[in-house]
Order: sequence, then C-alpha cells, then structure tokens
Amino acid sequence: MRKLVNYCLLGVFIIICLDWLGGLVLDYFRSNANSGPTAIQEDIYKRKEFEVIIMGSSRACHHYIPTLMEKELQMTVANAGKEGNGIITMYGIAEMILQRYTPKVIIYDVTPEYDYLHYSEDGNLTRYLTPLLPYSKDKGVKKVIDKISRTECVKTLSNLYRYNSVIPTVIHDYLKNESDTLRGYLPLYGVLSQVQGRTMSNTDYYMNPTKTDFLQYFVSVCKDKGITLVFAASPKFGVESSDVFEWIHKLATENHIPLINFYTDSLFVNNPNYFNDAVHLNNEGAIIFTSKVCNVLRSIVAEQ
Amino acid sequence: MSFLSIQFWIILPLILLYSLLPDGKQTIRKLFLLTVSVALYVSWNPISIIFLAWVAAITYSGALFQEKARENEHKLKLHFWGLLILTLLPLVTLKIRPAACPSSSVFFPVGLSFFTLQAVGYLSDVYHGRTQTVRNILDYSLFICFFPQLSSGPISKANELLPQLANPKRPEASDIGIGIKHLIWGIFLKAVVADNVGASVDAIYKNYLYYSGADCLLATILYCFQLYADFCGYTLIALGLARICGICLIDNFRQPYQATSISDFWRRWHISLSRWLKDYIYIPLGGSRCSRSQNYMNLLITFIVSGLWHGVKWTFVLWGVFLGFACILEKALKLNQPVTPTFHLLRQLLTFCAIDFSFILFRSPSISFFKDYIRHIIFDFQSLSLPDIGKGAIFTWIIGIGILITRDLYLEYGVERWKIKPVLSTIVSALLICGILSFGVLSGGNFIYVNF
Repeated sequence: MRKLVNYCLLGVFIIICLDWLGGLVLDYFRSNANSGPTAIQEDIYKRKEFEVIIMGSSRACHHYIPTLMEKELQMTVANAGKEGNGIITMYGIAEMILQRYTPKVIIYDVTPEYDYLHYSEDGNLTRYLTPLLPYSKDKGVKKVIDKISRTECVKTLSNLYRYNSVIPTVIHDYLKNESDTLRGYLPLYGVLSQVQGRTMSNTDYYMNPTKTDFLQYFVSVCKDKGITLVFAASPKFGVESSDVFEWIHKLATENHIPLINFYTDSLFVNNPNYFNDAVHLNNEGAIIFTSKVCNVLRSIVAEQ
Repeated sequence: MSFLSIQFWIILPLILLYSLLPDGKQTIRKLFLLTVSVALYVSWNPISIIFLAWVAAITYSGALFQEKARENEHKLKLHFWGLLILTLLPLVTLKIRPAACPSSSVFFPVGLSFFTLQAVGYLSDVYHGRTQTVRNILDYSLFICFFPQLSSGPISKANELLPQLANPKRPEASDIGIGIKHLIWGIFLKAVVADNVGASVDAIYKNYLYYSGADCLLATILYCFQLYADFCGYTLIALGLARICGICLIDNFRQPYQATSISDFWRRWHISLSRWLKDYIYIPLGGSRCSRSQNYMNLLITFIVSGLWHGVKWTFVLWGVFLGFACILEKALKLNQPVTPTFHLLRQLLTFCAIDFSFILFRSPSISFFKDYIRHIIFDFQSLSLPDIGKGAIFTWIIGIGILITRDLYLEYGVERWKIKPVLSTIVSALLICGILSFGVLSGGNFIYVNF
C-alpha cells in the first residue's frame, strides 16, 4: 500500500507541475499572440482601445465590418462577436474592457436565443463560459463564472482547464506571424441555396431569467459608465415578423436605448444572394448591411 | 447523475474509504456497497427503482421457488417460463412502447436492459443447474444493483460475480492501483476522444446535406471511434470502480478494430452481451450442433435479438440482419478462420469497412435517413470541406484517435513483450489527466449505451 501511495503522490506532483507550467506557457503565448482569433481577443480585451465595440454572437462577427465602419464613422472600431455566444459571454468581455478604459459606443447585435430566450442546447449555461475561461483570473470574469457555476470556478483552479479546447489555436496563433486586419470580422463567401440552408434547433420561446438578468446588468453598466449602447437586429433570410424581438424592444424603450431593426428588412429578407446560410450574411450582404447601420449610427452618435 | 459529474466525484472518496475497511467486516462492506448503489441509482431517476426492485424480487424469489419445484420437471419448466415472462415484461413493454406510440413521451429506467439480462441469466443458470440458488437477499440485491455496472453493464454471470459479492474482501494495493488506471483511461476515452469526436459527428449527421459526401463518409468512420471510445470508456470506468472495491468484472472489449472477420469482431466487441446472447439464445436454439441451415437460422435469430435489444426500430433490426448475414456468409465461405500475416491487414480493413457500414444503420434514426445518407455519400462525393469544424477540433480527433489506436495495438501485440514499469505507468496516467483537463469535454454528459 505504501508503494501505491508513493506512486499516487508522484502522479499528483507531476500533474501539478505540468498544470502550472502549461498555464504559464499558454498565458505567455496568449498575451503575445500576433495572429488569429487569439490576437484579436487580446487586442480587444487587454491591449488596445477602441471607440466603438461590436458585440454579439456569430451574427455580430459575420455582419459588421470594422474597417468599413471606421471610414464611415471616423472612429476606431473592433468586432468582439463570438460564434454561438451571447450576453453572458459579452458581459464578461465588457467587464475586462471596462477595467482598462471606457469605449464611447457599444453596438450589441441581439440574438434572442442566446441573449434572453431559453435555448434547447443551453444545458446549464456553462457553454457560454468557454471563451472566458482563459481569462478566469480576471476579477470581472471570475464574477461571471461564479454567477453561472460554482463547479466551473473550482475547475478553473487548473491552468490547463482554463485553456480547455483552445490550446491548438493559442499555440498556432502565437507561432504564426501574420497580423490580422479585419479586427474580428469573419467574412463568409458562400451563397444560400435551398438544399444547403441550415436547419436551426427548435427554440423554446420562453425567457431565461439568468440571461435577462445579465442583459439588465449590461444595460446598467453601460448607463453608469456613460457608454452609448445601441441594440441591433441584423437581417435573417426568409423571416416575416420580428415578434421575437418584442422583449428587447421593451427593454430598449424603458431604458431609452436605440434599437436598429433590420431583421425583416425587405432588401435582405428575400434575397439569398446576400446570405451564406439562412442566418448569416455573406461578405456582399455584410458590406451593404454595415453601410446601412453606419447611416443610422451617425445620427445616434451625433445626438448623444 | 453521470459518472463524470461533480456529484460523482464527491462519492468517489467514500468508495476509496471503503477500501480501508478492515478485513472480516463483510456485512458492513455489503451494506456500504448496496447503499451507494441504491443512492446513485435513485439520484438518476427515483421512479426507476421500482423496476429494479421488481426484477430483483421476481428473480430472487423465483429462483428459490424453482429449487422447491425441482422434483416435478413439468412444473419446473412452466414455473421457469412464467418467471421469464414476468422478468422480461417491463423491458419488453418499455422497449415496444415508443415504437407503438411514437408521440408518447419516452421513459426508460436507466440500466433496465442490462440488469434484466443479468437477472434472466441467473434464472436460466439456476433452472439448468449451472449455478446454486442464492439465499442471502443482501448478496442477490448487490448482484443486481452493483453500482459500477448498473447503468450500462458489463453483464455479469452469476457464478463469476456472486461469489465475489458474497465474500467481499479488502482490496489489495494492486487492485486499487489497477482500478485507478482503468478509471483514468476510461475518463480520457470518454471526455477527450468520444465527446470531441462526437461533437463533429453530431454536427455532420444533423445537417448532412450541408456537407459533402466525403465529409459524411468521414463522419461514419469517426462514429466508429466515437462509439468505441464512449462505450469502452464507460466499461473501463465501471471496471476501475469495481476493482477499487476489490471486485473483478468482465472486460467488454478486446481491441475490436483489430478483428479479421465479423465473427471475430463479436468476440471482441461488447463481449458480455455477445456471451449472453450465445449462452441464452444461440445455444438453446441449437447453436452449431444441428444442420447447417438450422445453424444459419440460429445465427440470424441471435443477431436480430441483439438488434431488438438495442431498440425496437427497423434500423436496429436491419442492423442485426446485416450482421447475421455477414456471419453466415463468413461461415459458409470459411472466412472466419485465422488468416496468414499477408492478408491480416487487408482482412482487418475489410472487417472495419463492414462494421463501419453497419454502424451507419445503427446511428440512423430511420431507414429513409439511412438511404438518403448513403445516397449523399455516393452521389455528392466532393472533396473534404468540413465547414464550421475548426482545425483545433480536427487536431483533437487525430491525437485522441491516435492514442486510442496506440493503446489497442499495445494491448493486442505488445503487452506480453513490453511490460510497463510502475513509474512509467504513473507518468502516463498523469499525462492522461493533463490531457483530460486540456481537451476533455467535462460537462458531465451521458454515455451512448445508457440510452439502451
């Protein structure tokens, strides 16, 4: 039995050393990455300052072109949108940004199933914490993780767990020396066809209280910091009504927040040439959409 | 409660404390194991305990009655068949119900398919005089609901598990060491290999028209590894937990993708179920001790029963029929004999292709999906594109499946030649744990075979 205990202790020692060393190396790679999504994240969350930040899900990162917005608005712009993520992730990102500086404008592209509705694939909401885990030592991010799951808080004691599933990306982005010029925008070049149209999971149309709470916190923080918050609903192919945005419309009205609604815009809604799939614009569609958003934003920013 | 949930990890130290109980405290050991087993089972779904209790009560009391009725053969036979029907009633009813009423919500007690077969096996062994009747209700209860194997097997035989549970010993240091190693490997295979590969497989199967035929073909190959890693991972966790308690369970897998024929595959895959089907379906039907045509019919029936055990769906029935005919063909053409080294790799590859094809049926929700999926692979076979699947995910599959294959190759060809020293084994275990932390899907998801 004594030998077994000794081998177990040896194993635990090796794990602790590898975990500590792995975390050290990965933290270094992350904070010194020059390319790919890791570099973009570091620029937005930790390294640079931008006057306008775009937030939201994949509909944010595929629809808003920062370089185009910079020309139109004459302000520095970055796209912090994250595929498959919503308000819980974005609140954590906002906490990190606001510790360093206060942006002038935040454009939040709303995706109802990620931002306030219950979504069938949500589980216990911990999936929204994945992009925040590498930053779990940050005070603001720790608060978010703790609110969602105490178990995740315990798991993030492991440095390797903080980089769970992103290690290849972090290493690749550190080693590759090609700086990104798109500032978080991810262009799509496909064209929607009937056969290839994606099917979305069924969304149960009832509110998720945790998400709505986070949205309320987000609105309060923006108000307290004097940030011009703008909600946006970008186009979706083939939809006939924007009833699903009723709740966010009410929240925006109560808090005097502008809501730019292009969800059923006739220019996009029946034109498959502007879509990569039923929910995402392609690059051509994104250029037109971004210009339209800038036209509206100019007047909102001027008023503020 | 999944074996990978945080609640389970709270119970694990209790199981380790069990190993510290002094020798001779057998009743306390049994009560402890029974309490943990029942508590875990109730935590999964409290209502399911009714079915567990039903099967245990019917088969325990039935076996005792059988002993008394032994003088009268006719009465014994009637009694045996009556008990069999009562024991199988919940399993058959709940399996048929979704097929009969597709719109009704499906409730299926965890592990019903497994502990029912285990109980039926015991009943049959007592009837045929292959094992003695168990009088101690504590021993029998533990045999039916022993927690490591409760949700998805392995299906144990009475004469291999009951003696161990009737006289539980204090586990040796080597038992605990082997148990911990099995546990680590099991979690690695499930969390790193099965769940990561499974995420991409699910994405492709769910929207297969969005992917090329080559992507869909790749998904079928990946599914073979997902299913193997998932079920083998579960089995290793079950074996590991049992071994920590000083109990040896049968291993369900023996490097199945090293098989050189379908028959060989079924001697390596889900071994406990194959053994059960052989002993309680195939041999009672006559096995191979009959005419050739009857033997082929027995094989086909056994495989159809195997398909139906997985679910009362045409896809599972056809899956069983396909494998049955494949085995019959092998027997008829004598392809199930050992091969020369020259053809060894070719036969392994062909066997893998056949199994891969059968698993498309196994995975398909319906026959029409199966037909459309095959059609898409054949007629839309453009190059691999894998849209929306990141390089990180691909990297994880390659590493995970690579480690799985290396492990299998070592167990198949190297375990006799290269003994791994304890220090190296410790380093490997530590690296696996680091791999689990770095790449594992740790959200406590369920195992595939829990659904059966």
